[in-house]
Amino acid sequence: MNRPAPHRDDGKPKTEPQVLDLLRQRTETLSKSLETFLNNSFLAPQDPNGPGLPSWSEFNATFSTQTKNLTRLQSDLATHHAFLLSAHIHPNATFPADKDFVNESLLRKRLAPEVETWVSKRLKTGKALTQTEDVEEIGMGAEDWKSLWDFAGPEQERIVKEVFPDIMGREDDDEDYGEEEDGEDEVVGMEGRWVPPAVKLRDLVQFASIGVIIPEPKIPEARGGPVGGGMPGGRAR
Amino acid sequence: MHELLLYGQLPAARHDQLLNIISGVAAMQPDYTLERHVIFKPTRPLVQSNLLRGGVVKSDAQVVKTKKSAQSTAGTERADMYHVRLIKRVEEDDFGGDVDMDSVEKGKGQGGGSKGWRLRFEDVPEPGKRAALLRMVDEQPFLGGEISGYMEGLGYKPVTEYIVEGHRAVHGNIVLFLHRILTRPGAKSISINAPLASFSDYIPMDPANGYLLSTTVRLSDGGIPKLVDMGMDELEAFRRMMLGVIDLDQPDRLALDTRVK
Repeated sequence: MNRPAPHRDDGKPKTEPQVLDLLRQRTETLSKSLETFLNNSFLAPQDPNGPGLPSWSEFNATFSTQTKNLTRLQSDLATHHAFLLSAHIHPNATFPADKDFVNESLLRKRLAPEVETWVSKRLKTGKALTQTEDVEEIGMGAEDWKSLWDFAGPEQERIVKEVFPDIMGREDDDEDYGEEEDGEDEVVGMEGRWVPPAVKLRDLVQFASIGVIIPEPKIPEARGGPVGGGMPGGRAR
Repeated sequence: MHELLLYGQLPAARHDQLLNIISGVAAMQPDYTLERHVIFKPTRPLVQSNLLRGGVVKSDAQVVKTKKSAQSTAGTERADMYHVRLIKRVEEDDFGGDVDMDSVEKGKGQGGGSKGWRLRFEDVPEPGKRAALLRMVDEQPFLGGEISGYMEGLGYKPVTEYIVEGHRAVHGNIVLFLHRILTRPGAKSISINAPLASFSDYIPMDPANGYLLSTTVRLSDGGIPKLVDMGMDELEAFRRMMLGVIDLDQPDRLALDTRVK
């Protein structure tokens, strides 16, 4: 049996996802052909009156196919050895990988069929609403929808302020975060609102350093205050 | 040894998420760490302990301290005094010891003895505009002996004790430490020999239970500009990678001031 050439240059995977895909193909081929062999030769043999074992030629052919498959897989594993060693599927032991739908949804390349149906249905509905010529019939045109959205944002903000005055108030009180506010909002976007931490970073690290928190002087100019002794040249008079 | 430092703060709700991200980035399972920190404050000016300066453990830190203070406070009569801290890595089993102060004072305490403690000195971060804080630190392990008495002899007394609980991972040359500080409000006296109270007695210092991510690059010599730049570049690259995940920033330099006021 001839050893198959590892890769032809044109078919060489370039990126890491391509490597993974190649391995997926290889293992799939291997598993499929083993399954076929098992089904055809043992579970449902072609000749029901035979000895219950595959014929010699069939066995021989399967053996050489599987050897080829395994050799290819082996050579791929060896080629991308460095990347594969560093790749790992679950970031952490606490990752809920045992719930199988998690892995399945992560491994999907497209949206699940039911989600796709849902999305296209909604898109169709939206299109119908905005593109209809007959404004009289629904009473809303594309412009109206747009102005409704423009209105909804600020209105929601107003209602939230009314219902949760304390949450909104805390943000306004904390002037120390005022300047960073915009940046934080973008960065902490996945959590929704940026809530200022109860203890400031400065206080935490100060406690960690000397075991007490010395309050920050209120006005930046008044540095001669509580921390004056620590300022280089702070006491110059 | 010098350290380059950046910090990031995050709410408790994001802790597990960030831990997963960190383990993914560092490609390792983070190491769960519990550390007991005891901060010591000098009770008298360093000048009086000159005789001890040739001693074993503290020599490096103190020599640098005296040198530094000699330069910076040349005109004043009082040299700067610095807080130092003792750190010991503890296990969950170490908590819940019988807190019986009598037995502790009589020297029968079960605080694990002198094994595992290390002395850490942190200098004030250096002034100047940089991408990260740069400070000198010195760490010396205690090999044995009566540490409490040794510290007392040097003129230090314990002022605060807290537990640091967190996960540590290493990414390239950056040590990532996602942690929180736990304190025990009811604690009356502080002694390194005292056994640890039960773990549930320690409550997070941040009432909102926020976490802190510290990213540290350790430099063998902060006096080599090329080495500092290399560390800075690596830290900056990590900071950029983490944009949108966590904001890494440097706190006010003087918040890390370990000098006695």
